Amino acid sequence: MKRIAFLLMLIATMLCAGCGPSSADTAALVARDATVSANATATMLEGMQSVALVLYRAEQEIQIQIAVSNGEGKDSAVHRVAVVRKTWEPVWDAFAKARLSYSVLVAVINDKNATQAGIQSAVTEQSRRMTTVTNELSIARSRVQGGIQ
Amino acid sequence: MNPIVLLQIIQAIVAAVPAVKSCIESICTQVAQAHGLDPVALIKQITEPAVQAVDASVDAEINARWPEP
Repeated sequence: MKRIAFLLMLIATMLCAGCGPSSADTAALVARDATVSANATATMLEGMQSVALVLYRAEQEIQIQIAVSNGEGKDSAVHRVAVVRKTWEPVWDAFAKARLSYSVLVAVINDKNATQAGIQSAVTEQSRRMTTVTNELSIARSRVQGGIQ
Repeated sequence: MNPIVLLQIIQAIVAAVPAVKSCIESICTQVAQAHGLDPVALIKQITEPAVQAVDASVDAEINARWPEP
C-alpha cells in the first residue's frame, strides 16, 4: 500500500513539474513580449512625434494670427512664438527620454546575458516614459484646441 | 573628424532616411554610455532637426508678414 502511495506521489510530482512553463520558456516569453512592446513603441513614437510637430506648428501659427489681429508689431509676434517654443521644451525632453528608454530596451533584448528582471525593468521604464509623452502631448493638444476655439 | 560636422552628417542622414533613425539612436545611446555623455542630450540633437525645421518656417512667416523696413 505504501509503495502504491509513493508511486502515485511520484507521478503527481512529475505531472506538476510538466504543468507550468520551464524557466527557459518563461525567459523566451518575456523576451518576446519585450520585443513586441519595443516594436509597438517605435511605431507609436514616430506617429506621436508627427502629431506633436503639427500641434507645435499650429500653436505658433495661432500666436502669429493673434498678433496680426491685435495689430501688434514684429517684436510682439517673435515674443509670442518664443513663449510657445519654451512651453514645448518639456515635450521634446519627454520624447528624447522615451527614445532613450526604447534604445535601452532594444539593447537589453539583444543582450544574451540579460536577466528576465532586467528585461522587465526596461519594459517598465519604457512604458513609464511613453506615459509621460502621452500626458505631455495631451496637455499640448488641449492647449492648441483651446487656442483654436 | 570635427564632432559638429559629424553631428551634421548624422542629422542629414536621419532627415533623408527616417527609417534609420531608431538604429542611429541606438548607436548614439551606446556611444554616450561608453564615453560618459548624456544620451538624452545626444538623442535630442538628432530629433531636433524636425523641430528646427518648424521653427525656421515660422520665422520665415514672421519675416514675410513683418518685412524689415
